[in-house]
Amino acid sequence: MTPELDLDGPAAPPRSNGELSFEHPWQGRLFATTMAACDADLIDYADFRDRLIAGIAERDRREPEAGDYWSAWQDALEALMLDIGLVEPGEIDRQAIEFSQHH
Amino acid sequence: MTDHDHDHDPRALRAEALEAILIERGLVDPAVIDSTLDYFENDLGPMLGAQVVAKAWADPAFKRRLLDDGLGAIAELGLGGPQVDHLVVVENTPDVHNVVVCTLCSCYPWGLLGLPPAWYKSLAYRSRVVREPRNVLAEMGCELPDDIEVRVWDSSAEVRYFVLPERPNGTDGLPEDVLAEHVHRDQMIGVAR
Repeated sequence: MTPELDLDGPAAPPRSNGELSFEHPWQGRLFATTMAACDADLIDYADFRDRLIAGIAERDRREPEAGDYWSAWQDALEALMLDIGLVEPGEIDRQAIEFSQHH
Repeated sequence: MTDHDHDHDPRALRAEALEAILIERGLVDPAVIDSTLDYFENDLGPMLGAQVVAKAWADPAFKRRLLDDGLGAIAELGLGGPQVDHLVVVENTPDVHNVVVCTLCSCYPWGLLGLPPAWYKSLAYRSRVVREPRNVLAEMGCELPDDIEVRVWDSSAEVRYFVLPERPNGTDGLPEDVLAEHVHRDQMIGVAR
């Protein structure tokens, strides 16, 4: 195993310790959206985590070490929101397509 | 305005779409999303955990409170953690070395260490550190003699673990802010001694 070890210096603020919190901005937005949804009591974090765990386990089986963590997070969040009726079936797809045509 | 990556990465578009739907419905406040992201990216980080460790080193009574009730003790410093019910602080001693993992996903004491590093989320770390902790630690630069017991703590949404490393020699009398500079993130996860 060759883990990505971070700078072995003194504890430092996030932005100056040599490591990005998120590789891509959408991951940060997704994370913050999840936290906001939990704070607003739209979703229960434990419920979300259960789905995340299942998604990660599935990815571990299919593609070990693919490192697809944030995709698993996204799939779990979307599935939970769909199940509890916060989004309609196909709604995210439609909105994403609309954004792709306007960006 | 939000800072989205305006490319055609399907994942990015879906994340943006979900956020837009929730905001349009009035279910989440965009300012909350922005401030949460800002908080996690800029305000949370291992320097907070280092403050806790330094105080525990300098103040034996605080250390006892920390080991007894992690959340209660760090609240004295204005620290906490979103989405955590219990914080269990485990103490390294000359005979015991502690290491933290979340075998199922990536539960981590965000409020003290910020977001976890990529390796913490990897299948290799999650699966191997429980089965062969000494080998994993050695690969990460932490070789432990056989007479030191290694304890692995598996985190969950409800219980997050945090390692209190041993105070280094030669730090007697140092003020807490200087002591904190002797604390590294990897020690508080337990992949460094």
